[in-house]
Amino acid sequence: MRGSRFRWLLPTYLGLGLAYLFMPVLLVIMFSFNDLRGRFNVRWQGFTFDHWLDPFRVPAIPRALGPSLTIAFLSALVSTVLGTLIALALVRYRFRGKAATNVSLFMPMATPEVVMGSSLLALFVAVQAATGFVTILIAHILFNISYAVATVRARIAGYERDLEEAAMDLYADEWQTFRRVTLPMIMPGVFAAFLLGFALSFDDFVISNFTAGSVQTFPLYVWGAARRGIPPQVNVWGTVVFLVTVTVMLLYLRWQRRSALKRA
Amino acid sequence: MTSPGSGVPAVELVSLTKEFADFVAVKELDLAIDDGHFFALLGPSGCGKTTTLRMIGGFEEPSSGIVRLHGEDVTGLKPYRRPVNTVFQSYALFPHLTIHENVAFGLRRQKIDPGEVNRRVGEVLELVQLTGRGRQRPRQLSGGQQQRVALARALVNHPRVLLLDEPLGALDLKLRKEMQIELKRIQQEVGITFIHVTHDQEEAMTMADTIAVMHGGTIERMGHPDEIYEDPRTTFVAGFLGASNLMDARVISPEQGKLVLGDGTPVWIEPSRLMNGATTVSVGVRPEKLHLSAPDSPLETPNRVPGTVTDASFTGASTQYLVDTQQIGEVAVTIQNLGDRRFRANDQVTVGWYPEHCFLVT
Ligand SMILES: Nc1ncnc2c1ncn2[C@@H]1O[C@H](COP(=O)(O)OP(=O)(O)O)[C@@H](O)[C@H]1O
Ligand SMILES: [Mg+2]
Repeated sequence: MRGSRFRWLLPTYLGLGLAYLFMPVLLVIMFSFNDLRGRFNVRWQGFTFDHWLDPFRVPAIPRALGPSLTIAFLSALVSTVLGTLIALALVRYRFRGKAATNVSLFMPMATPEVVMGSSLLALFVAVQAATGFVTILIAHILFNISYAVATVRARIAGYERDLEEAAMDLYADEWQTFRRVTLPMIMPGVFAAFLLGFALSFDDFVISNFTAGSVQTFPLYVWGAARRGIPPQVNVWGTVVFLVTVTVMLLYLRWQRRSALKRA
Repeated sequence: MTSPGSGVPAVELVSLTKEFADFVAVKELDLAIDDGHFFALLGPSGCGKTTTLRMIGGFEEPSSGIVRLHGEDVTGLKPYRRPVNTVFQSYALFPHLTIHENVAFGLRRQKIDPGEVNRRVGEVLELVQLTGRGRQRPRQLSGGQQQRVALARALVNHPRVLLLDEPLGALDLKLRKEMQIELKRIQQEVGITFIHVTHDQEEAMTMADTIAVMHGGTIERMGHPDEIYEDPRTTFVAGFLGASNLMDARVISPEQGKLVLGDGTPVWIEPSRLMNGATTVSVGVRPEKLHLSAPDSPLETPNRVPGTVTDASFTGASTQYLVDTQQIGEVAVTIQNLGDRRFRANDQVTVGWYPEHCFLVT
């Protein structure tokens, strides 16, 4: 067979691809165990648990994690709620300005972050809003909505409409129909939108940098620390956040597969 | 509210019209459906059946006209405020709920006591022969079972009217036949008015007490299955309900019911069907109402034309003939297999029929 000679090709390709994706993450994790001497955590100098046993040694890190996690959670929540409603409206209804809405939703994804960040700063200055927690939150909600709409929209299959009519036929009013039928049907998309929004917000540097004022988020702290040498506790916390995210995702996938099996 | 049998129609549509952007789907439709009837809305695809049903259910707002349920104007009411339930063509079962919860959905929304909910769900699952399936999910059931869940989910609410949109359309032929009988049994058992939409004339005739034949957004003929089959009144209805042979004739004597075909051959029909005073008419007769004989053994039917058999196909219970005649062209004839003589292609025959089997169409 012609294909059999190249049978190794696909696994190798896949392996290389995964290595390319995970190497940076693995390095972050590895260097959280680095027994470093000096300030710059870039050369392997030996194994230690020290940093894991003392994650609060640099107080600036938990101080930066606070606003980062809060903003990530709130912006993901708000953008998921709004994004879900927008996605439903875009799929369901024909209305004046639908095309314009589509384009303007795409804009935050297509606009370079530097442009968006500086524009937002200009806007906040123009309306004399003091930059800080609230302005970061507004900015993060803004770019998260686009991704939330795209993610939820992909989950709306079209047959929910029939199910919604059936619910209304069975004495469910609009709200009950949404809660008991529509939402359970699109929940995987809604949940994915939330996770994505959380990750995007937590990770954001450029836009936060423009809109943060004196507030320090985790990425802003890391960037600031980089010149003086990043303490290995950053790697510890980065690893923790990574592990928590991956665990939540795996749990969700498993739960989804279970309930899909139950339905099949 | 009125009680059954009080003479108020279960459903009354008054000059109901639905216009879509560029298309009138239902045109000034008037209809009254008696309480407790099995009513079939029959018509070809695209004639407006679903749209009519959706206006009764409240899923489509009429452009004009009135929908009354038991005398009450419900035209502007939301679906969840109407005492009707629907069996959707796609079944529309909730995939994330068990069978039990699917069926209980309507009762729970009406805040019915949980014990009562369980009792009624159990009862209706028994009615549709799905006892013991309550904990399964819709996708674990076969098409026929899903169909019965959809039926149970609607019936459990004791609606005053049940709407069914081609409920058997997705089933294979054998199952469809079984379900026709099953549906009829259930309707008789619960006594609820059924409005059954279908494009299958056999299905409508098997099940319904009353059939309305829809064509181009209006009702063209309505009545008992017998009545509209034997006297369809329009070419469309005659053709939609089954095969028929049509011939043009001139009226000679309305009192005697005497007509003549183009070449002067007389045709007799029931005088009562000739009331409208027309001078030229189109006469129809169904293939199974025709008789055949050899030219040397004359038929006693008053109406007779000679012809030549062009095709004969034996189907066991009957034989289908095509006979070419000079007076009325090619005629389809169905003869029950009672052991009489069978004809073959090119045989000379006489085709005959009785006046009472003729209908007039416009
Ligand atoms: N939402 C709609 N918009 C535009 N045209 C429609 C819509 N719904 C139905 N129609 C049209 O109305 C006509 C009747 O449709 P329908 O009531 O579904 O027919 P039936 O159920 O008899 O097959 C069809 O020609 C269909 O294309
Ligand atoms: Mg239809």
